[in-house]
Amino acid sequence: MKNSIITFLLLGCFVTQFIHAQGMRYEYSDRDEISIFSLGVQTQYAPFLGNNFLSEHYDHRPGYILETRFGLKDFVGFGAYLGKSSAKIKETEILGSDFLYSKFRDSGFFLYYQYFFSERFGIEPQLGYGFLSIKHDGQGDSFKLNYQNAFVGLNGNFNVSKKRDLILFGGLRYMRYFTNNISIDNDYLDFTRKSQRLAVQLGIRCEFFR
Amino acid sequence: MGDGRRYRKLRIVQIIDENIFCSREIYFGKSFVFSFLYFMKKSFGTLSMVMMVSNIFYAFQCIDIYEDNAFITLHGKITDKNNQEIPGFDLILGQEPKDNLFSESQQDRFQYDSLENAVSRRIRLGKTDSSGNFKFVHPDKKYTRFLVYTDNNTLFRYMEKGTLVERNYILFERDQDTGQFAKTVKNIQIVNP
Repeated sequence: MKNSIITFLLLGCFVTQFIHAQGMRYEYSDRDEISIFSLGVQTQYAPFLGNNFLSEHYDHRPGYILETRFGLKDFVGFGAYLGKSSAKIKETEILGSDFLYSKFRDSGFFLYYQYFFSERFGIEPQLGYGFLSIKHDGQGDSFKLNYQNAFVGLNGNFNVSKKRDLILFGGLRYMRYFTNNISIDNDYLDFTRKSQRLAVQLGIRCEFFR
Repeated sequence: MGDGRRYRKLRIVQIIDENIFCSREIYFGKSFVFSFLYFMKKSFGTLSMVMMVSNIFYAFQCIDIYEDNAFITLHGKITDKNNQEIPGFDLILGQEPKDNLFSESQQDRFQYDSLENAVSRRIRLGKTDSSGNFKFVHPDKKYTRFLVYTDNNTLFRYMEKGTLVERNYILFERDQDTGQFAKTVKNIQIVNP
């Protein structure tokens, strides 16, 4: 946990340095700064990868994410998101037979940097930290598992209008999941506590400028 | 006692029985509907008032069944009559049927007839490893007892609370003092192979 947080902070410092070194002027747009506020919705398909509990016990389904962003300075911004999706439980080895489906709730925040390389197209690297709550509805009660995650992402942005107030975007997000909260037999510790996930996202957002 | 009054009394018990192991969200809804209907139908009668209060009381008393972020582990070691380990022995993990939670007799729960019911609550299959050990992991449930048994009515002999018992199942339940499932491995001998 400590290592993950330290790595995340160091990466944050590194990326921030990188961003500032770019220079913030933008030659292809009427606007030379990021929007102060935006609201977006996106759909995502985010299966878990590798040989671990999250990848082997759930048959993941596409979900959606609500996202809001705040421009910090020039083309750097801060975003927060809430996501919902569901999964069918396909393996009973650890979860037992009480549950058929589970609900995934994602939340978190991220830093991003927008770089437009033409009038309408741009890319957007992201770095973030999030939380995942998995709720299994069982016999009259629910069983929850909680994870944290650190992620990096890369989005492609397409400006529908020249004013950059409506943007279609899509991209990939790679997430590493970890937790120290789950108590389980030692043989299953690594298997249940760590995982990774690749999310494919597609969405639209409205941006508001000063 | 008139039928109406008997019905109302039975209904109170039934509602409490149905909902004592329930999710809070569902129960708040049910509680409100039942209370409202009785309240209106009986025009502020005494019994409906009592029922409404008891419903609300039980809504707040609703019990959590699962312990979040926690899994229990059920260990055991199976040997034959000569204390030789039995590798690759097929086992079934099951859980106590909810129907028997309110059974008056402790013994009734785990007689073979009950075990037949438990088969329908089968959780999964497992095997002993090369040393005769088995291990099952399951989300932590506070009010459920777990059974390990076989399809062919194998009789097991093991120590339980200082007493040697012979049963066609191996029972795992929480220790009443610690509130935890025993972490030590049970040594189980098969009586009839």
